[in-house]
Amino acid sequence: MPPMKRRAVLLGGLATAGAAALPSWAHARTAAAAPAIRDPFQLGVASGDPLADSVVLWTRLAPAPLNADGFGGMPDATYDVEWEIATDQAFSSVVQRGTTTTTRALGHSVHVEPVGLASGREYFYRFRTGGHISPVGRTLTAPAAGASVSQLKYCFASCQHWEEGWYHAHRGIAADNPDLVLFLGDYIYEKPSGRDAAEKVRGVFYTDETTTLAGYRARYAQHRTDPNLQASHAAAPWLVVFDDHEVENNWNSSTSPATAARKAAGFQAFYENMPVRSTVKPSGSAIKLYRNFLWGDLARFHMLDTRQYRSVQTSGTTCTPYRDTSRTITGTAQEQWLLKSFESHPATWDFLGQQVFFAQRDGDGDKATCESPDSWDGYQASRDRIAKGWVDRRVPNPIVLTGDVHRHWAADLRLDYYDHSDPIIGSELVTTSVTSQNDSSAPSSAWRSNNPHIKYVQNKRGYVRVTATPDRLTADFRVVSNALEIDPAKALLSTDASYVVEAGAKGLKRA
Amino acid sequence: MGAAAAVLITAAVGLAAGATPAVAAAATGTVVTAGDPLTVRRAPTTSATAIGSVANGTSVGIDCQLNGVSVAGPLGTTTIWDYVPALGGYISDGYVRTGSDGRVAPDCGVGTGSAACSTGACAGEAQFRSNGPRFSVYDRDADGKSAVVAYWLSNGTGPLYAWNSGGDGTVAERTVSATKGDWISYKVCVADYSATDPTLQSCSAGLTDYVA
Repeated sequence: MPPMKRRAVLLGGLATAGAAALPSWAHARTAAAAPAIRDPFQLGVASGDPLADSVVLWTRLAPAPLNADGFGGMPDATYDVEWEIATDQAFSSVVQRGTTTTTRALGHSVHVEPVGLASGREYFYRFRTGGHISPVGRTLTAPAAGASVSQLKYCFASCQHWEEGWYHAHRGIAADNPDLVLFLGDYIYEKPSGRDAAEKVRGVFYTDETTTLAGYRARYAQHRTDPNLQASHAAAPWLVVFDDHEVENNWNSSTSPATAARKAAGFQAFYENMPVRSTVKPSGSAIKLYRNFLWGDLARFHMLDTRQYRSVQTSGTTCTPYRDTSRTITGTAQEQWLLKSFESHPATWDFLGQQVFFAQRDGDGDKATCESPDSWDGYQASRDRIAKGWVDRRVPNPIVLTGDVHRHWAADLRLDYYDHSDPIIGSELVTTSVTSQNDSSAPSSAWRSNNPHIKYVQNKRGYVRVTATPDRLTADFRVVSNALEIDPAKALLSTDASYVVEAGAKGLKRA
Repeated sequence: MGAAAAVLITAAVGLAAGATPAVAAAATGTVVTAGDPLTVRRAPTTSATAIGSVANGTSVGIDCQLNGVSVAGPLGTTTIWDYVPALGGYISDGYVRTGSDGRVAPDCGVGTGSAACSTGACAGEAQFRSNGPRFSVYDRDADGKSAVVAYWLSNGTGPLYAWNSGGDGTVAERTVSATKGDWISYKVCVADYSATDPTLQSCSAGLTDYVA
């Protein structure tokens, strides 16, 4: 059999033209000039940011993933990486293949952006380098704009401290076989857990706080060694945003607490390790994270960045800074982009995938005191502009998706939360953590009566599964019986509660 | 170390999918001393156990290299240590004419049996034996502490622990539950024994190796 025809493809460049029934890799020859390496596919594969004709394919070469230098055991050399996409898991019907290159400057990460794929269909992909073949991933392209879509099933998750539990939530996500997975931040944590040994199930290998590119790379790599997380990535395309711990706790637009250099290191490692498009590639301490995705006529996802552009957090309980109209959690450009996108209504559901609690949480119900400065409560004018923005522009069915708080929550949204009869303008679904623990006590009955828009709260580990149709969405709040138990036969996944939102009728209903 | 002599650098062979590469020296060199034999150490530091010696002028195959304690040899001062599988240990690159003052072989952790010391006087010393696989854990100081290897496996678990609580001068053989081809990353430390929550001290920087 002749050598496989190979063509150099730049990152983000055009793919090799499709042709069916090309020779199998099992018989093709490689000709890597770089030093031989052991199996570098120790971090699995991933896909993300699906468009109607394209989806990002990701892997990262790391034969020794935990190495503290962040290089994953890769020699300082350029490696060719072949990729292929098929319509079947056995790769008997390959539709595209090509070759890209990766270097130490990219942490030997691989981002392929094939184009010309069919819309709204399932594909399988894999990589090869130096004679090693990666695991196979499943992915999907988005249905075309305007295409009629009868159902979308997606899962969303957040907050997965490596040390504080096993990733059973990802086992559940993979088993759900979703169309999409959203990850809403705190994929890594910059510090080891401060918890007692009984509340930790494993340890980070790179024990320093991550402040350098090497440290962030090593930390991401260790996370990607988890078999459940690898399965979750391989199950479906992801839409990913970061929150604070991908850089440093509670960072903001200023250089304190996170310096520009530290942001740049965190952003670069985030880019290298996530299946995102080259449009997300950072430039120093700036990264264009916010972006949107359309899923036929059924759903649109607005993936937001509430971290990078936010005004410095306020503190205390005096409400003046919380309500200062000059303060912002989105930044002006992102706010204008979002409001502009609200002007069109191409899909039934508008999902705002973002980081921190959107609905008001005011424990004492006293309008004269304020709390939660790191959430949208700390940026009330920003929240008002966004919420009024979707009301004024008649966004039909807005749903906010949130992470951050290590608990499941479900809430209805209002313009004035102190007026308990103010119209409901949308709903918020908050996913608990995959592992990160939460010691705070449950809201009291007084707290609940002061916040009647909040319908549900549960302090267990898990994720949220959403099934959307043209008529309704159903949110299943999935929980793990014990994230400290490694045995999947003992750490059981179940649905703790389900809520429904009917299209055209605002507000959560218990399913 | 030292560019004077002609040196043969053998390129590593290509890998077949799923196969473990054959062990072949990544580089060769010649031992250069004032005439005395050169000490071979179990781990890349002068405080590690001397496990043998090699004569001046001997040609050695170098599988891999690590940065360790700085040594001033006849060819210069360097932190590079060379792992010579035929000798079963490490020699300072300051005594090896390789044709280069820099690195000529990949990082150790290539499935040939790597080793490390806890920091300082090497009170804890351990060698990973790819065949088995197992750790040989040496306690080399009557410091009242155990020698311990903390290790992580490719299934996302770790640290697991390989203890030697037998006291100064003892060695403990501890098997590792891992599969051929798997990577294993480890640090060599000292600690008071604790089955679940040891406070690790003086840990080595961390090394990755593979199960044969």
